[in-house]
Amino acid sequence: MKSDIVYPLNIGPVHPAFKEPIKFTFRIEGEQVAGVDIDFGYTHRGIEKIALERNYIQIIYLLERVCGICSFSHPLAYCLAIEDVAEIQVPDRARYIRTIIGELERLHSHLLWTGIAAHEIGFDTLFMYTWNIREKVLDCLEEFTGNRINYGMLTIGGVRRDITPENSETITRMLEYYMELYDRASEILLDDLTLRARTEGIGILSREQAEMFCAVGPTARGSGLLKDVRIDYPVNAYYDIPWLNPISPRDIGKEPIGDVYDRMAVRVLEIKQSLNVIQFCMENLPEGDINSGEGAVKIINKLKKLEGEGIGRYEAPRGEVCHYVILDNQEHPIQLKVKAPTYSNGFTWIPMLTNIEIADIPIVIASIDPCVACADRMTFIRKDGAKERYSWDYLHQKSIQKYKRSANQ
Amino acid sequence: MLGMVYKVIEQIFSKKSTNCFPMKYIPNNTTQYLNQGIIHPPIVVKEGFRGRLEYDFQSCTGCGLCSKVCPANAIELYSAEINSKKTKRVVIYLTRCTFCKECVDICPRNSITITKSFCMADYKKYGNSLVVGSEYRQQFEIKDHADVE
Amino acid sequence: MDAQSIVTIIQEKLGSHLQASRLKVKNYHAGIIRLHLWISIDREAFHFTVNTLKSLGRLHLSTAMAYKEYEDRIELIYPFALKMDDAHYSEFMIIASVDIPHNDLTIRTITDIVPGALFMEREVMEMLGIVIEDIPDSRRLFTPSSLQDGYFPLRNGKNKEDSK
Repeated sequence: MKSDIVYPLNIGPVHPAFKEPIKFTFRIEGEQVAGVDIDFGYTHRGIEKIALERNYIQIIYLLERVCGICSFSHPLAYCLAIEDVAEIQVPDRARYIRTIIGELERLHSHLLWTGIAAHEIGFDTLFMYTWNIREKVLDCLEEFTGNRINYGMLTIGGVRRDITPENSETITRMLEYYMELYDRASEILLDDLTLRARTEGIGILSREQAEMFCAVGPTARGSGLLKDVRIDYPVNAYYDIPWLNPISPRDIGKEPIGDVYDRMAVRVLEIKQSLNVIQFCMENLPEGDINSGEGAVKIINKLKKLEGEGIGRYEAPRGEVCHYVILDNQEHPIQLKVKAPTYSNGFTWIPMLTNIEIADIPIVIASIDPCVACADRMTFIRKDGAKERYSWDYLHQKSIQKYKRSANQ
Repeated sequence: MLGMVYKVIEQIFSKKSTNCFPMKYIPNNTTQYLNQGIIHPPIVVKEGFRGRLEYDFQSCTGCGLCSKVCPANAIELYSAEINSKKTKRVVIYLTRCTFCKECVDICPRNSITITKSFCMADYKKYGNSLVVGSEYRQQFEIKDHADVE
Repeated sequence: MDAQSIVTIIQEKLGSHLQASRLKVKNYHAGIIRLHLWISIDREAFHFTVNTLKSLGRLHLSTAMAYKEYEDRIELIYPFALKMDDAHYSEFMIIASVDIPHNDLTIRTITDIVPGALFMEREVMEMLGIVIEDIPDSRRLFTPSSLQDGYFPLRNGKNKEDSK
């Protein structure tokens, strides 16, 4: 193709290469990407606004549905924020159980990402292999919490279900299973020549850029920026673990340049780290209560008489989740702000995608583990083109009518 | 080609290897059918699985706590008259339920319990099988004139 | 570094621009502290404040901007995470709030100091109708481009009625 032709390439909002709706407009010069523009907002569901009409317990389950994969991280950040306002002490056992489930979630999220990355570069055998071994951790979570995702484990001031001796046996078996597989899996992922050829040297995000654009999670750590909420800021039981350090590609003896390979290496090493953290927590699990013992009604009544502002941060598998709540003597918060990792990382796509080839676009986009549903949280219902909005009453009436129609049938 | 035709004919007259669906077509007592191979046994779910809710009408006091904490607003309170006393009772819409078990935890009389049954498909969204407690509602509900309009 | 010395440094650096501050410290065992510092700053000095914070260490804008709406003003809240040394568990939160009066809803951009704030500033522009001055990209982020001008979805209160 003639290289002097500059043409726009539009991918999205709905495209088979993406799992979620997002729109990219590339400026293509020959085979090279010269510029990129990102358009969010196709899955905005208004969760922050809906939360202002729910009470404090209902919000936990609403926030589980911000994102399917981070369905523990978002409610945890919210619970931490509420506990910050109300100064509720979380019992030690609950802190450890929260850590274990958080790490199980990280494990399954990273395995999922590895599969997607392999799929995006066309290595479908690896995709099936990683998703197959991921079933083990999902089975473990199901036995533990009752669900594969949307666990419903959290409450303000603790957790809802305890780890029984049978559960700990399952976890031990799961750890053994993964420890055995880890060496083989990491060899495939980190040393395979095809994978290296497709991931090394593309999608580069330098350390300075990562710091400048407020990148979080494995995206920042892949660029050599030692940024990890678990280690920078005390949450859960992480500060009890003496050997916990932020992962960087230096751990496998490679100087980080911030390409796709580095981000993959960080995730693969974090799988090992998660296994070790789970093992540490299982060995040191303290005895005692798992929550404050107050029922949901007591918690709501207590929070109803409070005012103040609180902030909760947690390191989700994809990066930092941060929730900001404002309470004002009401049964619901008057403000809830949700920041998901992709919201911070979205900006880093622009330097990563510039000057790469068209064929590398899917893997570079997938390399930050994007979760568009997390970044978007709201939508508007309009009649097409016309500047008219449905009011809440109208929608409510509509829903009642529909209900009556179906009930009469 | 001919082999395919034989296969199709064989398939038509062979025994079905699937279960009837929705689950309401499956008879209540399945042990006798299991031996004949008409029904396949359901998958065993894990300990702690949260499935269909059951509601005990007799022990419920109508306090309404469950409807307050329900994240999906799946529990509806209605006025009922039992033994010529005015009180409240609930119905649970399983189509809206998220199976978080919050109502089971909060109920002071343990009137709501959780089972491991997960087969809930039905043709009607608001049919009796998907609204727990609807049979009591038809029997005991009183229309409060102040409530309607 | 203990909590009080961090506050002293920030107070010294900001001087008279600091209108009010509130400190919340939670002590964990083994000398690990969680430190939340709320500061409120006047609008003119906000850009200078962010610059000062940036010079102290690694500055990270943590959340999308929260806000509180009053009769005559909107209070915009910027939660920053600041890390001043390499030690573990040394990151602390500085939650800076700025008052913006309703009759002059403008504030200077901080994207020249923290470029990662661009998405959040674009969201504030479309959702709250606060005009960010000198923003490099003033397009909408989440709302559709066909949404009526002058309608700001997250604004409560009487301003919404006016724009209808």
